[in-house]
Amino acid sequence: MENTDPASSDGRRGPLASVRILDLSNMGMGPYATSLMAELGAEVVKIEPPEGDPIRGVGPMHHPGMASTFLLANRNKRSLVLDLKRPEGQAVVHKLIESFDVLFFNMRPPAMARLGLDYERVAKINPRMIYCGAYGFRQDGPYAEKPAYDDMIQGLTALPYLEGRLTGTPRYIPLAIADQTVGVFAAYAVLAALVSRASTGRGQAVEVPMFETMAQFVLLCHMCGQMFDPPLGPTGFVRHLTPHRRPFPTTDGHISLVPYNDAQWFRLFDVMGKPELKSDPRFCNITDRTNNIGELYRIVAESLATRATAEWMADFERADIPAMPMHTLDSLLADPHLNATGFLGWETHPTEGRVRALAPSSRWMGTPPAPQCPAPRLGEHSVEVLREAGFPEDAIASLGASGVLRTAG
Amino acid sequence: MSGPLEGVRVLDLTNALMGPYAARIIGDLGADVIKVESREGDFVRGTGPARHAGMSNIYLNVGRSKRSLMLDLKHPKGRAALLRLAKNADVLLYNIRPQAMRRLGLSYDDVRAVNPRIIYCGAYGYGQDGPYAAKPAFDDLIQGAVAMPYLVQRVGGEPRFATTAVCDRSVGLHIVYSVLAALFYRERKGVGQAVDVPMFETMADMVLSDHLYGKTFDPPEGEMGYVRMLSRERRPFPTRDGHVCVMPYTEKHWFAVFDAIGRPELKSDPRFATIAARTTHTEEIYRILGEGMAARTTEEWVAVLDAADVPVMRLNTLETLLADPHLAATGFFRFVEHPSEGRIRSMAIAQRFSASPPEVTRHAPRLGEHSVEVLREAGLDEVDINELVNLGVTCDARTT
Repeated sequence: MENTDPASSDGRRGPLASVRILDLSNMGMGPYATSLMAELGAEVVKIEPPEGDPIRGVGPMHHPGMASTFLLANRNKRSLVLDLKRPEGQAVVHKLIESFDVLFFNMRPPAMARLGLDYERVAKINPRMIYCGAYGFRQDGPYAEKPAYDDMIQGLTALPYLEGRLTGTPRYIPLAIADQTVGVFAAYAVLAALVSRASTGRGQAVEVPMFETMAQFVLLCHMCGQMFDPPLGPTGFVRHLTPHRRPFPTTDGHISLVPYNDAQWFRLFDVMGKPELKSDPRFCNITDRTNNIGELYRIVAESLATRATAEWMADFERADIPAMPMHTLDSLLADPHLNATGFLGWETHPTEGRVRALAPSSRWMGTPPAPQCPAPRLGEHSVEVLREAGFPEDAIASLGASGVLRTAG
Repeated sequence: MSGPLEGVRVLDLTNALMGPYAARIIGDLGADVIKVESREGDFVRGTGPARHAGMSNIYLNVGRSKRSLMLDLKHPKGRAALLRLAKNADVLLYNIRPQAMRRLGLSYDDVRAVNPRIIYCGAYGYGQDGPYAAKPAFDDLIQGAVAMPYLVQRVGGEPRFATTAVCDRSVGLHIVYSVLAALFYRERKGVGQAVDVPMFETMADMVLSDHLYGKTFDPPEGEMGYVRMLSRERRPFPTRDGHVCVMPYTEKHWFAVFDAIGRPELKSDPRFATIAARTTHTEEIYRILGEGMAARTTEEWVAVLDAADVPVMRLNTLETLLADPHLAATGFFRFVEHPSEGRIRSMAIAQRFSASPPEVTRHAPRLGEHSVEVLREAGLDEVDINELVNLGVTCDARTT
């Protein structure tokens, strides 16, 4: 299909190639949000304090400040190091605001105000600015001032409790699920504001609170009987909370299996060599299966334990029963589909050598994203960004001399 | 209507959870979302407790901010009606595979022939240029395929799915921003396009962003797996009467915690002196923290650690989440009157927009509740509409 999208003057491509984002966020959530937009072509200038985003130190690394977690979530961005605690640093941001579309941050509004970056001030400089804050809690409730990390938001939104209902031990999901999910919410919130600005010409402030966002995410299914007044039953979505719903062990691995309609279940009973289950009144339609789901999953688990994953998968494929083998992290990296589609790739980082690069997961017919760039060193683009914003050389030199501006060593 | 997407019209052909969740968000933000359903209706209408058939709790949650049009797309007149609607739509969203759309005569080429400005967004299991292209996709299958149960096994002993439809929901969000990015581009350049959002690749990106870890590098700097998240000791810690979630992160946090649990000597322990050292000794530091938390009640710890400025929260159950004081203060939950289902709990739109605040104005519709109104708006006259009703291509649920 045709590519309708000529590259912008600086070579950026993708549906967001005209968008300029000043990114004050650090750690997991905010940088994930801006990386999604950068992937689609937005220009992201990451403003870092002199000591850098703390995530630069999390995970294995070749060099200090260039750890794996940072490298993955900060591709396609430029790094500008500014000391925002000093008025000269704030003045630089005020100047940059004139020519950017989005100011993205993850500190709480009072902290932004202390830096001279409250919405009123920013909107006065650039009324078209999308001013997006993604932080823990809405500012009009009792948790307003509390810090927020992924673990705490998971705990508050009952995710470990749900795990505990199944296993007896409350545990976090071993994935920064709140950070990443709220990051995606923040990305679309910014884009919705940009779409709105395209028709109204007005910028606006957008607030994305982690707790409220994840509460909604979890309760969408788990509100259950408490959806109604008077209630029709307790909270908790039955299928997700049955202990029998899990990848079924085979002789050499595990399989995720989701027969959905009658025909698929009946074909599964045949493949399992238990055709009599088709006429078992406990399992012959979706309502009866749902009422007896624990027993049904137990019978399936017993069968699956008798053969190897590949044998079952061949039979399931033939019988058109929805199933997938369970990956480990290592087998995921070797997955034939991800390797065939070019999702898993490598790039050469100028200082860190060969590093893995994950391709954008969405596909765009008209505006395919540009080739992606590796994550920047701390302050790698300080001078270049200020030059583009029109700062004269002597001003840049003097900011550098006073330590307000830092460049990569 | 209000909200940042006011004026955007979406034809939503999706069913189950992922696509409808994306469409609900787009509707919440002010778009006019027309949910196109088969005669049987979206099967999520039947999942979970309900007052009336076809109006389950999950559907009530995910079906709001939309209008329902029943249309049999396999009937030539149904297809013709859809293409007529597509003329004035900005987005068409589907979650069957592209081949199935072609069989319906609704491929991208078919649709853009009537409306070249349309954003044609397909969200399905796997990228169409790899070996899994034709495989079915459900939340459980994708969780397994991106190693989520394996990760759970590493910390908990046996592989389990996450207890919430993480893939459906997360990929739903990716659909939303992809559609909005395409709309934004169209606002500037006037050009529509086709966008594909595959579940497997999208979730692989989420999992690997955390867990690629040492294998980010060539040669590797160690194994895959984010050490802290895979620590068996990292969990909500039992207190004397419940559980507490503590998240010391900086050195200041950790030192305050060491004081609070009566172990000030750990402040000079080289194992815990830097973030790199603490990461290397994750198991020990969390074990020590967990032992410390057993000494007091949850409320005591929340008070003590709050005062010491250490990130802390109690562990909510589903019930206490519904009663959470912060959510109560911000008006997150409210009861609304659904015309046929009575009083139901509604959750607020979590994001706030200063200039174009969205609000939920449409309840989850009964199947075909807006068929007649939507077809009229598309320019069909009463004779045409009656014919479609009589043929069973649409149904009119205004009065039922």
